[in-house]
Amino acid sequence: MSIREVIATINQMEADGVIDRYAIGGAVGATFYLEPVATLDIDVFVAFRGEPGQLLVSPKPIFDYLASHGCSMKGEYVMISGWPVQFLPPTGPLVEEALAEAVDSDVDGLTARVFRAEHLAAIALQTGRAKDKARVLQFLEQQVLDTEMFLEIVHRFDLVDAWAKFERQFLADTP
Amino acid sequence: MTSSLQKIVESKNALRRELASLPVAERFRMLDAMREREVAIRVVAKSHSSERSE
Repeated sequence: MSIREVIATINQMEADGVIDRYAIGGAVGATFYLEPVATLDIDVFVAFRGEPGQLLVSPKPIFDYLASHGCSMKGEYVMISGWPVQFLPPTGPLVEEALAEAVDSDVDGLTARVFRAEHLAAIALQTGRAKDKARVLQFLEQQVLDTEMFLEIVHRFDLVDAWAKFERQFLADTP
Repeated sequence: MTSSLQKIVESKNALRRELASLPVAERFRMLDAMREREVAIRVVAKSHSSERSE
């Protein structure tokens, strides 16, 4: 059971041309910047490749590749090295930009691509569940965000109201 | 906030900062360990629930 092995597998998929570009998001992405963030799965954002003759892009080549490498399916997850991994397409312009601007990070000599902290925080703000708000707070408390870049993303992706509400809810009484 | 509560919060924040400063590979090993425990608990819980239903 190893996230490092999951990253190695995904890097191999990229090298073998199964996916064009990937980036790790979610709690595992946040763990690149914060204390370990408990999670049940690994979110991998990918630009899905279209199959020849098909208009709709499909995750099928990914599943076929991983199945041929001994990985099993579990609902919408692929089990890689004991971890449920979900391959997700960009769900909107913010995630598209996060994927395009993702950065390389070293994991014990292995390169992993991960969303920038500012994008992770903005995506959490946009998603807006309780656990996402907690994650935004973690990013702020650990002071890992480039505040100027984060606020620029907030403005550009129409998250100003969500940010104002978050500030009122969680930051108004911060000493 | 009372001073004792303030101390607890400060020590928790210090621990979080300490964990966040570990190499990312070490943080991932901690996630791996958490996942292993979660799977083990799930297996035990499942076997207990099937014992109860028998």
